[in-house]
Amino acid sequence: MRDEDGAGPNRIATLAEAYGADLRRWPAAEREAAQALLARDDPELRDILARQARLDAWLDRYEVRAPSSALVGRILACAPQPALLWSRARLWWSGLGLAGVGLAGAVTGAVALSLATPALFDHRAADWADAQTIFGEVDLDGMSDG
Amino acid sequence: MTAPPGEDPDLALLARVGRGESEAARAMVARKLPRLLALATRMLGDPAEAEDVAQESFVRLWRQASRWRAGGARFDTWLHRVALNLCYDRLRRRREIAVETVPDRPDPRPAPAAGLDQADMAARVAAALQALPDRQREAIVLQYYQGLSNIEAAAAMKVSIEALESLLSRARRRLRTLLEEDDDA
Repeated sequence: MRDEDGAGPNRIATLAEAYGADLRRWPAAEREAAQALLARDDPELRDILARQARLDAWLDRYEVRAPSSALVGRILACAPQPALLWSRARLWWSGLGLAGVGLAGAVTGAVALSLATPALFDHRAADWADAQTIFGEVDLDGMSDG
Repeated sequence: MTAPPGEDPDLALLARVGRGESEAARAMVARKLPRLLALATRMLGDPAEAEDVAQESFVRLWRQASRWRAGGARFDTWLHRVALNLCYDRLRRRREIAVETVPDRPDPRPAPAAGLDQADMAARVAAALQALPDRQREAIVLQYYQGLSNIEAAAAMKVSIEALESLLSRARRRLRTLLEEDDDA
């Protein structure tokens, strides 16, 4: 029977008083030696275990209710959202795409307009075009001498 | 307590949570919430406050998921520590309020034994647990109710194994006295 260097009756009593009567709750390293010692059916140790088993039975009465679905919902509402991350990335890329499309459209529009109405892109030419009347050319600048 | 990456059973799921996988978040809630809620309920003795603690623990878990680095504490030990710290914040606040308002002290002794049903018995044990000093209650909740090994419980409490065993022995002695006294009454 050991006690100085390992599981003896005193150590078994200490373990039972700390961890209870169920050996599965005891430190794994000491369980086997304790089991061997308890197999000898020492009446003193049996009493100690019986007392602790009674307390264990009391403690087991205190059950806690399962989490409500409302709590689960509140917790999951704060969880990292992959859709949010991806939609942010998509938004960024689509924003970039939209800017590109807009820019391309503007360039295309400008080119098309310049091809369709080249005179508009020459200020003087535009002014000249506007200045044309059925009466002939109007002096826009008021610079004509005549 | 440190754990090699391969030995921490939560790391793979945690990584998926960190990547924003909603199924992983659900699995994490299913795995951890009942235990966190039980821990907080038994530490605080108040279901509503326990829900707040569980929810706040998850807020921290979500925040930590993508940043977690393996090789330090086991994830479950860290999570227990987070929940315990939140419980202690509330217990401290209670004490401050109690000092300010000086209410009637609740009777720490459990209710009478006669005609007890399951709910009454649970209430008696809950009352006895609340009558323990905080550290003794923490030890018994972690080791007995949460099923942590002595090494894990000592790590979560930041004490030696010997200190844990001393806290557990004192807690169980006190609980037995409270519960058996009442049985005899």
